[in-house]
Amino acid sequence: MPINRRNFLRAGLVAGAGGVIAPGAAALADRDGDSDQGNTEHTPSSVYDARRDAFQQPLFKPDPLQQRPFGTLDPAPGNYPGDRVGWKGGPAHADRDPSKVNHGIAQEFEHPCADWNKINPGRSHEVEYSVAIEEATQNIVPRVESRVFVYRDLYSTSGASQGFSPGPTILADYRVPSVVRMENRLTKENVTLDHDVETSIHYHGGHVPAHADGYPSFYALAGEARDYYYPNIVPRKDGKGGCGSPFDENWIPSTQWYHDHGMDITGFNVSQGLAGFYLMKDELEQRLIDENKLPEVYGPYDIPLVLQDQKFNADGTIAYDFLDHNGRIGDVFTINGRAQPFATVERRKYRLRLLNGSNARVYGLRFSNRMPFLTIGHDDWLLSNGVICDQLQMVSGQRFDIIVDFSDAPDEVYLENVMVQEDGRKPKGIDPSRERTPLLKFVVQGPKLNPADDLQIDAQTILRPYEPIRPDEIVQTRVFRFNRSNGAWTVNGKLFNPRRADAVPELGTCERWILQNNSGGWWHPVHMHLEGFQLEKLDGAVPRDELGPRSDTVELKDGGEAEIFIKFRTFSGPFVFHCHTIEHEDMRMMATHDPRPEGEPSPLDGETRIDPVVSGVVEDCIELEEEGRILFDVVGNVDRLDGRGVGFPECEYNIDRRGNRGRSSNPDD
Amino acid sequence: MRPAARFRGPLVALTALALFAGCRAGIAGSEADRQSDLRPHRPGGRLSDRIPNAELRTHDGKLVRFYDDLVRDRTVLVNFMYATCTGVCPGSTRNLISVHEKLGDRVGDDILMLSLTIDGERVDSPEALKKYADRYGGPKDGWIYLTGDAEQIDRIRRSLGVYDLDPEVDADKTQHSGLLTFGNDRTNRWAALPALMPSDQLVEAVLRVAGDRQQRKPPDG
Repeated sequence: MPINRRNFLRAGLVAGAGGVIAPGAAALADRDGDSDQGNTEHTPSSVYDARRDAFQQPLFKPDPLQQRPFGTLDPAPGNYPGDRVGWKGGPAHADRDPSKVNHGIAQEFEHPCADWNKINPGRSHEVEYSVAIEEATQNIVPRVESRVFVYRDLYSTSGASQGFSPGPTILADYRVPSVVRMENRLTKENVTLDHDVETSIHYHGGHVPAHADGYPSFYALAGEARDYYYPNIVPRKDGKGGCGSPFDENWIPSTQWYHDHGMDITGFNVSQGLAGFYLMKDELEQRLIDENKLPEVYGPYDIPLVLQDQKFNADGTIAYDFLDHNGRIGDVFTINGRAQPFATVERRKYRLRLLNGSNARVYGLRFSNRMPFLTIGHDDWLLSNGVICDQLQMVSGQRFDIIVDFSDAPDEVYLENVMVQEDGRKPKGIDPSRERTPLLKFVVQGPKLNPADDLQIDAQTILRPYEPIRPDEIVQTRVFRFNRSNGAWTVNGKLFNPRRADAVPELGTCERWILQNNSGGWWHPVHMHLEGFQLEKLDGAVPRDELGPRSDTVELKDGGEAEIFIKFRTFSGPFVFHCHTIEHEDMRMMATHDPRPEGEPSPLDGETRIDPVVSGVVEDCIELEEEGRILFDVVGNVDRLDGRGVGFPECEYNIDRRGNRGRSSNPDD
Repeated sequence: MRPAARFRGPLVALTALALFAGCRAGIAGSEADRQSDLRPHRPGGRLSDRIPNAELRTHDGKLVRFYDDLVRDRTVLVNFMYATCTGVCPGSTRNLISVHEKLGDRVGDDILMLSLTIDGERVDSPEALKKYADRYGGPKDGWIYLTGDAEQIDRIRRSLGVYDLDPEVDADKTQHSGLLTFGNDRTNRWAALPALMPSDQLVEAVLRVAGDRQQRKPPDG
């Protein structure tokens, strides 16, 4: 019988435990004794034995998410039964039926620019996807079935009975807008946990309306669904948000991903598997493919690799410590959801899209034969032209696209991690004498491909040209200090408040942001939502070539500083920017930016709820008038408010409440 | 005092892997080593398994077991303080009063608020804690101040993740009063947030973890 929680529970029931999970006698003895416990150290993952288990499983390549044409989703995006709020696309009654969509859709869905859609101008979207977020089991380690959370493709034609992690790969075309319906089926009745699991899905690197960006409290709650509207556009050069002017093609992306971003629970959800690739292609990238400079997108020679580190309990379940705030460091290395897999490759060039999907680990990557490779992309974007590297450093959330030539490689080559890291604070540096873990074994087979038939790409090949942001475009400089205070994370001395905008840039403008890490001995990869940025300086110097002109995540070493040029275009917020060490993010190492048209204040005054038209989270108003107390009736029952569940935003946004009423609700201010 | 928690997990596995890449024989970490690392887990491992069941004294002088009498089957909000704390404690305590008020009659029912003194009983007697509570309007239903052996309280603190990896920072007791740790022992879901966050949001987050009001078994006798 496979070891998994269900079977453990079943065994418990047979033994008469009666469904009540009583502490084991040994655990009690441990608790009362003087043993070395009372800390958050993790027991090594005993289910995994590298001697026995490494390189036994083939590399997993997720199926592409199947798209259906406009008009397939039922009910249609934005048209829900039970609309009683009075605006189209308004949320319906919450209930436990996942077929009901309760969170509306982005207001931009109703008012797209005609030129967002290159196939049918004016139509808000062209393709539709349908995804269930649910529990499944997966052999991350051979022979051990571990519970995972998956994004399951409801339009899949593969016949698979369950979903997988990483989730299906979204293959998007530039300016072919889409709607992804996400049904969160992680109700406690449906999972081997005793609680519901709320989610919010972030499209990492996407340029999307705030409603669809995955703001931490814009939930897809357990038992509910949310329609994510992805226009698959880039900002316009003038950036003002109007329609018709030219797009800023500097920023057309390529390698992106989607993952959970739910408030306080992201680290758990991502560790359980909620992440997948999102690859976008435009005419320029297609031309590079047609010219045989790049392989066909997601074809046999284009392989996305998400690198994660896992930990397991003795029963094979994925271990997650909700109170390890330092950052989760695992002892089992996985690629695409399999522990140390192998991949059979031909003697030719491949495009490998590397993604650090770990919660806190920093990787130092190289090949075991020390062969150089061509780095062609960083984060979402292809570089202007490739950079020859033999080693890469990659922080959480970061991506590198590389071209690897196996033509003259030995029969076995390993992708290795040589970065020493023992806790979530920071890596200890590259030291192959202390840390040299093969992550993926390439079994190189067959005759060498005729070089004339192979990809025609080298460091001189022009990929995606870049027109730099000029210093004279900058209208404002802001400094953000990432710090630690009494065990809590702060940004500019403030604790995160989802109702407070920490920056309200003018829509369509460019700013210089100085990101400083003063937290004392910690690294923080800082990730921006809405737009990528031009990394101008890193620690006072010109950034390394492979970091390219474009980034969406930047490493802030201890005492480090990044200077970035960033534009704020197309969509008003709220959007977060935050540390991508996910346990730090869950401890709210985040801040909010809310771009607004000139002269328009942000409604995020520190107190007021976010506009439900943007967030789509609100379905009813339980607001108390007295002193602006919101949500909770102090004398009454706070169990369930209108059947929705507790602890979730539930108040009608009242436009009259815009503006500061002269009372700060944040004692840290 | 124990050194700040080090992560020992990967070393065994990594040593093995490192050797694997170089040569295939002579793998570190014998079967016996791995067996001895096994600890009893309930399915999935329960966070509360590592919480010491230390004997503590309440501000009323009552003896209690931390896990058995307080944490078990409940949602608890835990913060660390000391009676003479003048830094972050007064602000935290005032904010927690607001949290207590907003949680309403669930506190004392399926939710308990627990404030543990880092100084332990040699410095903070039950009377000293009672006095501290009196400074903030007196003891409140379902909110218990706790003292006891300082080393035991230190172990509880570490088990709840309230420590700093830097031993110097960790030794500074003023550093541990900035967090509110909360968890639901029934569902095994835990979280921690800055204790100075707006109380509305703390309450939201606590209620996400607490879930529906649970019927507690009537006390024996």
